[in-house]
Amino acid sequence: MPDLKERFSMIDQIGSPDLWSDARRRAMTSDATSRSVSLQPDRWRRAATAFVAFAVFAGAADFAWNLSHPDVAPRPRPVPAVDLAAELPAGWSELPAPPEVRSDAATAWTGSELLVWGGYEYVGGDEDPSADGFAFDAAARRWEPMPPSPLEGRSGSAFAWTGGELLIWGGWDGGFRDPPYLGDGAAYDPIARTWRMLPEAPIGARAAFSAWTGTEMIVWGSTDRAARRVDGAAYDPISNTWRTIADGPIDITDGSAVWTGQEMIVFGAALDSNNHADTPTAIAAAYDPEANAWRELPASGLSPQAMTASWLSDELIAWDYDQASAAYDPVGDAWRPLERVPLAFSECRPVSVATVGTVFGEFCGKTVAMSADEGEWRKIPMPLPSDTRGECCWVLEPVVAGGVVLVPAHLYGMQLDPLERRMFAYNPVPAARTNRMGEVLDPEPFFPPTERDGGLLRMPVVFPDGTSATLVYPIALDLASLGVQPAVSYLWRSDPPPRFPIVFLHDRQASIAEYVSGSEPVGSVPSYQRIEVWRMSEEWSDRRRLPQGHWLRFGLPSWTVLVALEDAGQSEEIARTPAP
Amino acid sequence: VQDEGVEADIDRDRSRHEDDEAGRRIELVYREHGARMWRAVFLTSGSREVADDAVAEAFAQALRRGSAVRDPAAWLWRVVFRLAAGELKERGRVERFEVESVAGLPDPFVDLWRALAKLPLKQRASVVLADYAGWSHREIAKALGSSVSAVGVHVHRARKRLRDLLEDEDA
Repeated sequence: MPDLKERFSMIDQIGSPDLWSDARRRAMTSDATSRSVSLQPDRWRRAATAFVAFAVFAGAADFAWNLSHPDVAPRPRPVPAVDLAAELPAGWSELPAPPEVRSDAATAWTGSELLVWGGYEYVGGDEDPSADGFAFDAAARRWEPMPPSPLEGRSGSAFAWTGGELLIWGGWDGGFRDPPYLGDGAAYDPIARTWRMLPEAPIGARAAFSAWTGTEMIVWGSTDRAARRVDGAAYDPISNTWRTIADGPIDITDGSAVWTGQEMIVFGAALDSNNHADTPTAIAAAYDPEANAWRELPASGLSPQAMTASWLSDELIAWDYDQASAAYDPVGDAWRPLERVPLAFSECRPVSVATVGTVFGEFCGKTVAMSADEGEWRKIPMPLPSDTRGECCWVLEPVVAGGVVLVPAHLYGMQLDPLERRMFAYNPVPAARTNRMGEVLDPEPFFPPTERDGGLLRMPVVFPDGTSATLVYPIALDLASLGVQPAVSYLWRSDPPPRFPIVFLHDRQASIAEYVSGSEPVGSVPSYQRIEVWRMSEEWSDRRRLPQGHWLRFGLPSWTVLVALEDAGQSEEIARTPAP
Repeated sequence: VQDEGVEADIDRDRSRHEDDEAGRRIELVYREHGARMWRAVFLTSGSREVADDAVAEAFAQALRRGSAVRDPAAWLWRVVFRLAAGELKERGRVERFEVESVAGLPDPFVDLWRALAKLPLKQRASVVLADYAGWSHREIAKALGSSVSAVGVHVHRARKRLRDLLEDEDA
């Protein structure tokens, strides 16, 4: 009997239709109604416009474009991702201040822009939510207004970044009519700089908890203390459809929704208008979109009055306003207590966000972080001016932007007006692990396979642009045993800091002045004409938080490789190792 | 103003050039993957109509998006299954799996065809991508918007069920 794979392969005997011309025809068609697979009209229109541009170009009829599309601007092109973690120093730094610091806004990091839409600027009173937004262009380091949206102003919306669009649904309109909640939504495409409305959701208007699963935005429950809700829905941007989801098993009005990779965990408590909680501790439940089913989590032991949670590696890290902290492991379905957050009790609501390997927390303007390696909270004092000139308070609105946390902040005064706006960036510094030379290994030691070639080792490396090279070096300079990891180290731009101290320069003529002190090497390896020892520049060392050290400079046919060595004595000893 | 106009022209030309290049890349993906994609959707949906529509629409969407689609093959595999799933949902999941659709193919395949009809959609999609397209569970999870562990369960259950059904058929 043939096995399954053999049976499956028999379908290759069936001819498949040639659908290429159909696909091209559809791409040029702006009439979506004849298609059996539904698409959003706005997308059809936009896409058709784009394809016409393509077709016109193919026919080299440039004038036709101008004649037939006098009002069509050049289509925005995708902007290369900006890796702020690679560009910014470890720890705190400062970026241009936003036009406003919005609380309860819909936010997204697109890979190159931070989008902030809606919400309100908190200056101590009841502020009206806005119907506009701003985008921080990380490459240009500037803020720009987002195009006008079709939505009315709101705060506390459910929102999600899909990888291509910022989805926004529901929220509070800032008024007190009954009900003061909104039930419509829209999606913003930052490449096309256009908005489209979402179809009508199968649930009522509200300010809901939300999470992005990778394919759907789940919208569940309500933050309205006067009207508890346990129903929800999920929106799929590809099919542009909503589905209802199973009702949750618990009520929550305050708390966090977190996506674990498999489940959405909602963590918090149901509070009434006097801040009294229904339960003695914060509670949680998890929704599995595959099974469309919920499960209740064990009681957390944390205060139900004010709390926050974020997902760190494989645990939910939760923290309450009394500074107690605990971690929930979904595999063991159990909580474990963590060390207390090292901040004083206050009547504030803790806020946390998670970036790669680190949870960032904020409480009453004080900041803390927990890395997955350390497993405990530590203070990371923010470089805010200590002299607030007798004014009131700093409001911080942290948002994850790739590997860093951007923190728009503003100081408001006794006259309830924003006095000063700033934006800080926190680039996490995970607990350092070092090799026997004290070099930082990050995140796990990785030794690319090497091939022995006589007295040399050959190490193939592939670079992000798809090109490859083979690093050839004497066995005596065993880079792998030194912890030098070219493949990984070149990827430092997307890895959490600290970066691995090796630098490849594509162009042999490229200046290495950025990395070294002086204009001449401080030594060389007599047996190897193309290995020089350079002193590391203080600026580079400071920027990367590396101890002052040396570089070995390898000159390869098309690459210059700088390998950092932290200890001068060791570097020279290695550099002088005689040829095998 | 003149400089801005020139810059806008340059930008537009560059944008078109990128779309032109993207169109070529997408066509290459069609030539390389199109037939396999169509057969995978056909195996999953049991319907030539759904497969035709999903594949043509997925490539049309890729063409419209142009250079915004950075990895067309991966993007298209994901979208073609999402579109097929959406189409089946609209049709109330009435999947045909009519034997006439695979007339002329060897009996062992026709038996498999009948057995596939008895699997839930996610199991069927998972086992088709695993055993026909040769994908890893991780890749399937990405394409189907599922988790790796869920795909593992789907594939395991689908294979077991198919083997049981095929054994019954052979008996």
